[in-house]
Amino acid sequence: MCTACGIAALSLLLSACGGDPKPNAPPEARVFEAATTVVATREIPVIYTTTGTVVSDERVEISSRTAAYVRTVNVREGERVQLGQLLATLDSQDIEADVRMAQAERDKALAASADARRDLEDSEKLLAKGMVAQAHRRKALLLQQSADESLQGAEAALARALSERQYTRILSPVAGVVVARHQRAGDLASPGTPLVTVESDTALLFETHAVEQRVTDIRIGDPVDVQIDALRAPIRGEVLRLVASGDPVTRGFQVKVSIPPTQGLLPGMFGRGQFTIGKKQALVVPASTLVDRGGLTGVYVVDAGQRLNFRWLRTEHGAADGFVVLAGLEPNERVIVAPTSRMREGDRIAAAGATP
Amino acid sequence: MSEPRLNSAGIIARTFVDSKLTPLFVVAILLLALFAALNTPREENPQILVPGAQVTFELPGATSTEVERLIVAPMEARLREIEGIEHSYAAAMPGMGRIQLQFFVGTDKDAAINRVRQKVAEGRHLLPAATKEPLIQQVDADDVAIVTVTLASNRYDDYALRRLAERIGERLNTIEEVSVTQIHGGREREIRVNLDPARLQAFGVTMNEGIAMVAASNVSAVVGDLVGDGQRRSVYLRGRLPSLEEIRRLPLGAHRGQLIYLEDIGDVVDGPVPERDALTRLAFGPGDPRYSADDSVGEMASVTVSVAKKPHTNSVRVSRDILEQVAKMKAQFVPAGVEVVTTRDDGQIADHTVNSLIFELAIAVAAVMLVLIPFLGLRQAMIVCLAVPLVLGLTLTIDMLTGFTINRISLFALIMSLGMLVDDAIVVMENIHRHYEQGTTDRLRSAVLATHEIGTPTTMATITIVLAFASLSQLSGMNGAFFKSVSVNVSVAVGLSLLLAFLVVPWASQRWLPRSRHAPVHAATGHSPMQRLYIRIITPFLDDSRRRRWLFVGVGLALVASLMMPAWQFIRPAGISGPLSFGGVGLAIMPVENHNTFSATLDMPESTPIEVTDRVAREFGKLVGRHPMVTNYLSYVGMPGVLDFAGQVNGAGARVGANQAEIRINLIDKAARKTGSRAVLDELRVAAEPLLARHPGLELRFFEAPPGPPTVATVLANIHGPDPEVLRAFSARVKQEFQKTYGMVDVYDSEVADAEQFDIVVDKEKAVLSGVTTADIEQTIRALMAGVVVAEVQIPGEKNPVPLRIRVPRQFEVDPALLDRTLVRNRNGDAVPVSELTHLVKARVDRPLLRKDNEPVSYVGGNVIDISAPAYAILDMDRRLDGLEVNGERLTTGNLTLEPQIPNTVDGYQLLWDGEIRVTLDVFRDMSQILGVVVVLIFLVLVANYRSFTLPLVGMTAIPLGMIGVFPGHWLVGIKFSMTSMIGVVALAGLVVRNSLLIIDFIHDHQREGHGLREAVQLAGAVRLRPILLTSAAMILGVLVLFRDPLFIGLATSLLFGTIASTVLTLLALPPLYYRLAKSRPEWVQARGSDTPGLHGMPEGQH
Repeated sequence: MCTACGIAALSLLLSACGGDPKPNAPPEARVFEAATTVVATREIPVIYTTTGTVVSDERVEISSRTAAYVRTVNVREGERVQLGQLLATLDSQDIEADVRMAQAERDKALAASADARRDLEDSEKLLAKGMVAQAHRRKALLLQQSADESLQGAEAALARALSERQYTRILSPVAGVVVARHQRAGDLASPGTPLVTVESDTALLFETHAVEQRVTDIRIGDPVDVQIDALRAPIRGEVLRLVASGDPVTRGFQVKVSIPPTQGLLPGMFGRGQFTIGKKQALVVPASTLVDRGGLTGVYVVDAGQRLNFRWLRTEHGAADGFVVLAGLEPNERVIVAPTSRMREGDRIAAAGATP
Repeated sequence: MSEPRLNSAGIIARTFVDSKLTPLFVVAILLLALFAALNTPREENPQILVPGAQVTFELPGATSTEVERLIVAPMEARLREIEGIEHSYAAAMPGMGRIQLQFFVGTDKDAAINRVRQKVAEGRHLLPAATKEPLIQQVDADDVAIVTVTLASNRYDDYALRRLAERIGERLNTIEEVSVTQIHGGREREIRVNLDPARLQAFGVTMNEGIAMVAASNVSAVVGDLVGDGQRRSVYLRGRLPSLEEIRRLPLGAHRGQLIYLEDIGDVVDGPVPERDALTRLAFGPGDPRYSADDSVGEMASVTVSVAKKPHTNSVRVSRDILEQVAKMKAQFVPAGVEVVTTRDDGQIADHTVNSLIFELAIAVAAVMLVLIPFLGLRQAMIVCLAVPLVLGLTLTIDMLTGFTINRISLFALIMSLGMLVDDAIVVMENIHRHYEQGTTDRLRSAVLATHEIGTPTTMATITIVLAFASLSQLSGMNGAFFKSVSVNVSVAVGLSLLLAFLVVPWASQRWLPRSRHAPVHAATGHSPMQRLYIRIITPFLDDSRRRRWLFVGVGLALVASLMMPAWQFIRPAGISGPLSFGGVGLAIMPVENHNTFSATLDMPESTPIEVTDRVAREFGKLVGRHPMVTNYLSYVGMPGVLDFAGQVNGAGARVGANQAEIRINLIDKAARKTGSRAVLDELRVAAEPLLARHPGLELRFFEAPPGPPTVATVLANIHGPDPEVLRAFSARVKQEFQKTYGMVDVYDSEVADAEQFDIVVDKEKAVLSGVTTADIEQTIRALMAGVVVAEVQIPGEKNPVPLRIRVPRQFEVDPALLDRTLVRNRNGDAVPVSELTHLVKARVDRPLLRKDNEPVSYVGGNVIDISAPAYAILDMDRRLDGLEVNGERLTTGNLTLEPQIPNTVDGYQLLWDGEIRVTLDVFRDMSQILGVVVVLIFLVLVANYRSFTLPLVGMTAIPLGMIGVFPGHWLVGIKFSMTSMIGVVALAGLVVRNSLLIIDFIHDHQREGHGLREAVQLAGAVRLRPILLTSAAMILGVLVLFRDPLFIGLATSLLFGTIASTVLTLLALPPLYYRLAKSRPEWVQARGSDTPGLHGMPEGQH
């Protein structure tokens, strides 16, 4: 009947919505030729890092022997000096006067000595002639000997005065670098007050402090990587001395690390010492595998179907040749070695050749 | 026929039948209707106001237990003193406590938040002195975004996208109706000092000194006034850090006479943080053409702008304005390579829904007309259909005036009421038509008389319907709020239809009904073939008492069989668990709906780093991105997605953590596809099984917005008890039982997996010897681990102050070696490494402690897939869990009672069922009460009318007769008996009584006209056959449209099959029943009252 027709028409209308729309196809996957590598856990050292300073093993603070005014200082900070090079001169007027006085004393003694000798010769001639008594000659000999002694004394006094004069010229006892100039011309140099500091640059040490908890892990002779901020490459050194007494407040122990002579390395440079204090297993990815996608750093993992899947990683430094993966990757997963910026999720790689 | 005293229907008809006002009235209503249809705000679902508040306390350094004992427990008790609180949820975490309050639906939200503020202020002094100022937040449904726009790109990173999004969001605020715009995802600009602990140590600077120096260097202020030369000048201290360069060269102190600059101790970087704790991405699926594009392949970095509207604004218009604005901005400043994707548009959904429903309403009207024309003739059908737009228009006008919106629910209510509201018009028109066919000279008087004749039964029938629907408004809770518009719209529409039937139909009928071409015929001989057939069928049941008995027994058996269909699952020997038996009808409170979007959450064990969570999210994303129905999906890793209303209720907004991810999946619009969202979801669930196998700790859950009000989980077990350890053990056992249960998926629990943490233990003796306090160490380490914002920099051209954060790059984080290089300065100025004063201990992370309604709680939840239903799963598990013993403690189960049970741990450990089952029970309770009240009210109305207690019972037999159709109907359609089915049953109760009332009334009339009882019964059935079939057909056709909507299919099934069963069986069984009973009750016919005195004392049937 018509009711039935109506219902039929209505239900037809209601169900007329049809089926599902056709899905859009995914974009064509691109195929790349790319090398892959299988990541694996391996042993990496546990590093303990401390900070410290490069110091010189030989450091000479040169001061005046006598109290005198400084006349000239002939070197500046940072200047390289040779052994015996003139560093400074002191005012020598007092000493010159002493020398002149000693010279005069010596001249006097010399004259007295010549006079006594002539007297002795005279008295010997006279004695031979028998003109004087034996006693007269004996007295002349005594006088001559006494004058000689005086002359020697005067000469010694002169020599001393002259050597005083030598100390007003300050010469470098070592070859090295002037690191400090403590006094200027006109200052009064006195014994014990340093005038100039010279450091030897041939024997440098890295001096650092290790905390109480770590110091037991460090032994004399242990290799240490010293990274000097000013230099690019790390320097390989070894523990030279451990000062076996800590600071009661800061609980730090001094550690000295010998480092080979290196171009550009200067005392006072800031550095970090990396002590290897153990070993641990870690997953390491080469630095070349990392890629930045939309602000995330990660790798492309290749799945069984040779497809690329981006994986966000948390990494840290720690391995010499790559990054330690803390989260996001598992051992034995295959990653692209050098991803290009054109690669994207879902692309494929052509070759399955994995390099270990 | 003598002129009777007219009843009110007759009086209305007489007044308006020839009035000039009537056409004016009709035109006015039509204009009003048009106005209302265009101007009433539209939304998809009615907005439910569930006021909520959240109070957060901070007590740094306290353990969960301390926070619970000192803050959460006393404050929760105090806050619960506020009246109107339905539930309170609390969590005590290390150093932090949070209390969430949920008020009863409909509580005034401003009053509620004020009471909360007041209570917190009053209780402030009870808290430990170190507690920071409590943070009180309002949880507001108006804050739920209606539009989200996502910027996604493979070319730009999320930092650049965020800056774009911020510009877009800022512009959107200029739209008047917009309330909150938020940016989700992306990194913000900040100036960061990446401290190098080694350098700090080398310079002998401690962290605290550095921080203090930076903070102290960033001051600008007006420091005073200077008056001179008759002018006043401000003196301004300029100390702010204006540029990156100045920050780099900020001197921090001197070391051996040399200045140490900020750049000496760390790198100063301007830009986003490289280490992040949250990520957002978008990827297109095969449903979007951009899926095939080369430059938008895979998961792209994305940032989402979400926009919420102000209350009482039209979501359709607001969202259109927003998207227009976005389109303009896209053209102006969004660079190529950035995709702008609308990822949520509730306004458009609302508009689509409303428009398609209006279209369906039109179809339903047309269908009703189609069925009326062959029965009544074209003109008659037109008259009836004139009533439809008038009633609908007036109802919409009333909606507009009373502040209701046009939404899916109210439109469904209108569609549903269509069948009922043409009823009155049909009945009136049909009776006038019958009168005219019998021949009359006075058309006006006949029309009035005909109206008068059916006035009382029609009014009675309408009152029963209005009663049934009006009582639906008594549903409590969110369901009540949700279905309120059904109640209001249907009662109003049906009430109006009665008025208009009496007012407009007689006027139209007397004008346009054709004059009878037949000569006047006697009623008894003028039967149509259909009526004659009916009399032939019915007569044997009247005459033969044995046949009559068989009929009654048959109907009774059918009723029992029908009721057994849902009940069998509960009482069958095979137990409640397992698939439905053949012919069984499942019970589920919430039907399955087809959505355009759903979400999935991924939970990894608590110790999972974000990189691993991200990886799992990507793997899951690949599965999602392959599904042909997906247009796009958004991944939120470590942060929650944009909240929707369901998420606001189930706490999705709190999902912050490196181990959590949320995937929002958007599908092709449901109008353009056939596959339902639930089917997509189920396919994804199956596809994700290998993923779950690969990651054993992963919990994957799917969330679909429920078609009705949201709940926390479908099945939820709240385990209450005093000892957290025992609760944990119980929780594990309950979770096992959940997983064993038939049809249970998405099982989760609130217990956190044990994660490791490092405890830095301060050696107090060493610290004292070194002259360092614990507080010094705490401050230093906190700055190191978390980083501190030490200042805000005002950079010219930048809208927001840029934070200056001091932090340690991630490569140094949580490394015991870190402490070697961290210095604390003592009183003498010596720098001491922290490692020398402390030692590290590996410990377990302090677990959060949860509370609900003042009692400690642990939750286990799950979802039930379509093959089972929550009620079955719960009853099955309840049997296994009641009396469970763990560690010598015994678990009792509860809350399966009609009244909600309040947690009480005095008697030991308690498991209270919650989630959908609670809603089910509440609804069942309300509904049975409502049904009871409706039946009683109908009975009372009928008693008042018939002045008899037994006669109304006869009339009301139509209600159980209707039930005979309901359950087989559900079985035939293949759906579960849901809450809307129950609403349908209540509505049915009101509807079907009409048929029996009309029959009874006509029997009486015929008797009064002098027919015998037997003849009167025969005739009444025959005469009423046509209008009864007509109204039922109209009802059925009107309801047919509802079958398209998953929410209302239950209601439609109840109504459709209930009406069919009731109509057929009423016509068949009611006359014999009446006949059988009336023989011994002659007072029934007299009960009509004194308005027809001439019919008194007529002889009873002679048979």
